[in-house]
Amino acid sequence: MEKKTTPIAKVDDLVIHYETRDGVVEAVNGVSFEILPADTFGLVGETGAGKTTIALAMMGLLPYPPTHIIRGKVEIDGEDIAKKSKNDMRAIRGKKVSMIFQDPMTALNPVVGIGDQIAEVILLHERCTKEEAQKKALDMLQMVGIRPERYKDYPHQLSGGMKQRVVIAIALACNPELLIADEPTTALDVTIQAQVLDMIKDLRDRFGTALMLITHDLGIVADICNKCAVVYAGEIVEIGTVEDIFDRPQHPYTLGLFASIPSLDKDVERLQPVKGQIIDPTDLPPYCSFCDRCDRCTEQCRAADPKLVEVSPGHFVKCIFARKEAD
Amino acid sequence: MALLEVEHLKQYFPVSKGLLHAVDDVSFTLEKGKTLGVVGESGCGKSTLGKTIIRLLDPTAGTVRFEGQDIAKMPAREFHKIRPDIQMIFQDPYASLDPRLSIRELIAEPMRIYKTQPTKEALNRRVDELMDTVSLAKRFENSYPHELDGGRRQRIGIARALALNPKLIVCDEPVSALDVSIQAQVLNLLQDLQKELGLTYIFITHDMSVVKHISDDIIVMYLGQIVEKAPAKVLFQQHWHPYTKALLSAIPVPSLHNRPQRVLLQGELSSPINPKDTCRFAGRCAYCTEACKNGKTPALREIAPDHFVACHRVQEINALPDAT
Amino acid sequence: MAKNLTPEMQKINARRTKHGKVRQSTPGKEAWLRLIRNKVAILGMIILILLALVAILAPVLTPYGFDEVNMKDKLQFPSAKHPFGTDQLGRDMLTRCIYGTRITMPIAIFAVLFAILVGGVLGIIAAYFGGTVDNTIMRIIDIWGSIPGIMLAIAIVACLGNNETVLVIGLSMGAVPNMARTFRGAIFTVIDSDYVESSKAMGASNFRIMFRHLVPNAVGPVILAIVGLLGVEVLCVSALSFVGVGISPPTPEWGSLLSTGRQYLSSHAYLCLFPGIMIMLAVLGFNLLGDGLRDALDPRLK
Repeated sequence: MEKKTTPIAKVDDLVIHYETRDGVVEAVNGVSFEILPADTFGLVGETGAGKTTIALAMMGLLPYPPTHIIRGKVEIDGEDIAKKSKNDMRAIRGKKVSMIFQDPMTALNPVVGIGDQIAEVILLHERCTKEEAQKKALDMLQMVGIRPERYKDYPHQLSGGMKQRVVIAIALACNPELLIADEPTTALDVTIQAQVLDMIKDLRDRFGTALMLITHDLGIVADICNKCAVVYAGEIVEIGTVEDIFDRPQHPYTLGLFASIPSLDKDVERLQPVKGQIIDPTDLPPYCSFCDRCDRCTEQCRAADPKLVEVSPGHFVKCIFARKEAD
Repeated sequence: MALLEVEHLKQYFPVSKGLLHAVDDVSFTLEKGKTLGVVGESGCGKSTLGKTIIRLLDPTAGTVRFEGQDIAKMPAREFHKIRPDIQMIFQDPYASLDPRLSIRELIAEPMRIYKTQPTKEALNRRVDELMDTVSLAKRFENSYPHELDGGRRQRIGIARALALNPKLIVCDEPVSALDVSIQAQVLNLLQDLQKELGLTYIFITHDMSVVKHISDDIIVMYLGQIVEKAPAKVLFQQHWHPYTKALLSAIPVPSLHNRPQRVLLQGELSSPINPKDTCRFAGRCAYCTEACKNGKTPALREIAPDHFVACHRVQEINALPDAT
Repeated sequence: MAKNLTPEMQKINARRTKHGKVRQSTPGKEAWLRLIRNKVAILGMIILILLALVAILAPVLTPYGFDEVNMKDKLQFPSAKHPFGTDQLGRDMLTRCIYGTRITMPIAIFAVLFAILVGGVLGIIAAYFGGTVDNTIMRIIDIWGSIPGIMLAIAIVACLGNNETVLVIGLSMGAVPNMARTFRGAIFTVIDSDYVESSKAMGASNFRIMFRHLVPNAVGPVILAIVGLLGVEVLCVSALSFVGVGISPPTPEWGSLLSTGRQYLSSHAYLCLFPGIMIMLAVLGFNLLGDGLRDALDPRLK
């Protein structure tokens, strides 16, 4: 496959709000990043940080109303998806970008055989006969490690791990250039999760698919990604390569996340959690959203919303205390 | 005398295809003030074990001795008197609180049931005290559970469990539904309470890093049986059962350095319904031999002091001297 | 305070939070808020409140007595003096229709209450204890339910004589299976909740779990069924009176008014029209309220 250096997906200053009964939720607030064809991009954050909203926006799947895209744009393969018609978007989804969701149980149709569900997607996007589609579906099943004789099985006959494999097979059936995986292994046991992650890695290398992985688990990011962004209250607070984030983190929130996870190789008597509660997205302050939970918060932090600062090439931190790296 | 002694505990459920062996011959003892971690994957019977110990389920066989009394077989009326000593914190703080009760009512409920507070004022004072203990701000007293975030809800669950001054608390995945930053707060709270009140915990979880952090001893369960039992510090240095090895290596470590070599398991969990009397892990084990597949269920043997493993080939695999 | 609110979103925000944030509320209160925003439900409620007022204020609303015979003015068409006309004995139809509200509605409501009491308790017990208890109760309910409700009512009235109390019992007996099944089903949806287990672990009594935790949480579908049943019972009361086994003349029950008016249908159709409209209004009120409730209680439609 040819190496492209233009980004497959580019998100530019995206601001997304949605209406709820409790007021307007400021879900995404000025998020920018790009994914190159060889990237595995991790989007890390806690519940309600806006990770899934970003992903759905990239798929053009946000319902309007209640969702409002206030500003910014998403470009897939250099083209603004806001300018695309519904039919064009349908072609882009599956062919260029596809997405897998957290819960494999609800993503599959319970009354259609798993093989036929894969074939159906291929038929939708590619000009081929039913037989060809079925043959390709069979290949896909084997690719994700499911024996061909299970082609006619129904979803309920499979375990959780197997179902997630089928979902991944469906998502990859049309060779998308970008696969967005929203918490793909959260519903699975650790040993099964390890199998599925290994398989995702293997398929990514084999097909050359770019991957955007949404997760709350920093361990998974360390395992599989090369770039990553930490999201808090709909903003990227730190973005860079995994080395930047894991070895030289600067943002207090990123540091707090690491201190919150009990370590396996060190003995820590007491964890150092991030204080306070997760911020209410209907009530964001006009200054740094992390202020109330931050130990280093000063008057200056409450004066204005900090900008992303480039501390080393490609490593950005949204904090006034961010300092250029010495090396 | 140990606070809790569980011997040959069995919990079978009749299902359409036969008997589901959710907990199959589990024994352990737990000293006062200690924390026992129970780890395993979904379906290994760890939650059932917890529910059987606090008698939400009546065991099929076996004994559960709490302070020397067999609580598994005692009449319900008598057990009602002991129940305040044994409480539980539930996994899902979203589902384990009645959505129609206010925070104050929720925390007061156990004390209303046991009528521990003679007057309304005493009850209110005790609720305030409990809210303070779990660091729940007073302004939430009239809120309802769905208005609070997961961390605060779990604090309510903890306050409810503490209300009757228990000696033993079974914590069933108390932090699994929480975000990491909140999870750490709740873990710290649980540890502080243990120190202050001298509590004993049974801590059930699937998260190895959490269980390592909080436990003194750890039991690893697979399909209803204990496969390995060791002090927490020992287990993470020396894990001898092939399943424990796989489980520990599968944890995604949030660091780019010294990542463990993955031991990938083949296949999926076998069925816990009418299991054969052989090693239950045989189907997924990399070290499995014909003898493992056809032999009896391996017994839990003490391989090193306080370190128990249920594997026929534990000495061969780990190049250990034959203890027997 | 906000980060990126555009004027347009600010407007939405202001509209959404006009009444302050809808916090500190139970699911019940939230359902209530949704209900009073539902136009259909409001219409249903208005109809029912008007009917209730009419029943309470009956003596004030009309100068005539409901059994005031005035042979001089018999079979008069609607006029300013008698807006609904008069019947074959010269009684004012408006007055009789108004007093009818006092007869039909309470009978329907008490029949439903009685059915809730018997059927509800049976259903709750069946669902909570399950197993043999459930099987025994539900098989009895199945046999009970195989007898048409109206037949049961006719049989009971035939045995015990037709007064209001007997009619209430007769009608409620027919509705017991329906209520038992509704309660049982509703309890089943919440019985596996973790909070039930949590209370059990705390040593709560069966009674406490059933009535403090299960019933309040299962109340949604039950309310729907009850409102639906009220409409049906209004029809049943009228139907029984119409065929002559319910409330008999001269008591101005709507069904019996209709039955009497039938004899004059070709010449004095208004004698049937107005009681018919009253029955229709009452049933419509309950059905509209039921529809509104269905929307309000279904959180998926939020």
